[in-house]
Amino acid sequence: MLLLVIPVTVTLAQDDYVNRPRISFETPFNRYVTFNMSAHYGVAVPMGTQTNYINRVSPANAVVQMEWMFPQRFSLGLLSGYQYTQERLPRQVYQFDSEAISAVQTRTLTIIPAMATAAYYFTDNAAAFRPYVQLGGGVARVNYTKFWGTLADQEARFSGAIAPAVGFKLFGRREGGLGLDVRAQYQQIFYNYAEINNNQNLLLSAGLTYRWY
Amino acid sequence: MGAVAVWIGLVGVGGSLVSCRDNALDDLSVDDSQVFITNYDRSVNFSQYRTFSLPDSVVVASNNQSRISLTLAERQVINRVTENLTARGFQRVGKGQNPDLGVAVIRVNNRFTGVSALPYSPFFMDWWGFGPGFGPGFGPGFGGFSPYYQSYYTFQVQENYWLIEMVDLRNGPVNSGTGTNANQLRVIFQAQVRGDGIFDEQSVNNIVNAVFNQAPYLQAAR
Repeated sequence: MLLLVIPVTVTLAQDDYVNRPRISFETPFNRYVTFNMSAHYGVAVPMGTQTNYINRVSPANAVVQMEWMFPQRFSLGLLSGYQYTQERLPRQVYQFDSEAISAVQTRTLTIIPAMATAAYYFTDNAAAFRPYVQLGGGVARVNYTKFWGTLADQEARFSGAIAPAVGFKLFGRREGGLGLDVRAQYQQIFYNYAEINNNQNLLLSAGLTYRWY
Repeated sequence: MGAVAVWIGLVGVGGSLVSCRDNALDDLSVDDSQVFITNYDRSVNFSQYRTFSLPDSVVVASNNQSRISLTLAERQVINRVTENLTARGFQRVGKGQNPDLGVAVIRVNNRFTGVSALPYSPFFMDWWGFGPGFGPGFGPGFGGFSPYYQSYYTFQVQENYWLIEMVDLRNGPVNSGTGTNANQLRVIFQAQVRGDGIFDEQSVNNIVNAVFNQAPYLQAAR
């Protein structure tokens, strides 16, 4: 009887003295400012007066973003990317007062944003699933080029831009480095030219994200 | 290693999907590249004109120089312009028969841009008899008159295009007097054709017809 009890006791005692860092120390993601990079591909749905110019879902959009993740579940970051949309209209005659122009129009719009972002995450920095809300603000280089045949009516400038977004990062496991980033972003650029009175679109994007420290 | 492969894959897919403005016109056909621009002076009643004069050759205007040319395509353009005007009720007359309208067919071959910089060939001024004999020349490069444009529109690109203009010879020059704007012939109609293939023999007929189709106001009194 005594012989049976003693080994059990010893086992319990050993358990108490084993060093278990996973419990004793918080993950570095939650202790330090860490880093996160994302690259997205997306489609852009035109909104507002943008539909007067090009009323077509754009399949050519990319987003790149760098974020500094603070342990307090927020991040500050920099965002850029490339958004391009194009539409070809069949030949028609455009009448302006006494002037008539017969042409096949190819309408293009290129947007290159440069924004600062602030995001709040609903789970901690090491979590496997991280839903977030984000606000971006900055400028965007907008290039409006309307081709009449091969002639170009072009206007390009920097304009102020804001871009609130919701999304989530899915890393699959706690502290995992590589993950999936899915986002819906509304973007408004204070750009007015011809048909466009404040450019607006909804950018639905997905891509890869990587976090490290 | 796996992560790197995924990143490369993503960039590759993105690169192939992303298009851009630079190749927006890659799939534009030759016909679709052509642009027809017509403009006219709204204050003018075209039914007051009955006759027109059109030289037998085309002027090639290249920056500040011009020369006369008559290739097969250019001859076709002149013939087609004549046919269209005749069909609208205008009668072609010789330059000595007091034509109401002067029609100019110009092939512009400019290296700079902007319609306002377009030189007007003194060839036409001389041809219609409004040359040096009508008064002192004003402005550099123009023998007697400079063209008077009612309105301007500019495109910033392209240097080769057709320009068909009509000037009012019936009412003579406007802005008589002295100064840089003196003795200008009023340009009452202007057509520009720009794009690819516009100097091809097989397309010039359609080009001229397209110009007249969008200018129904060119109509002589019946």
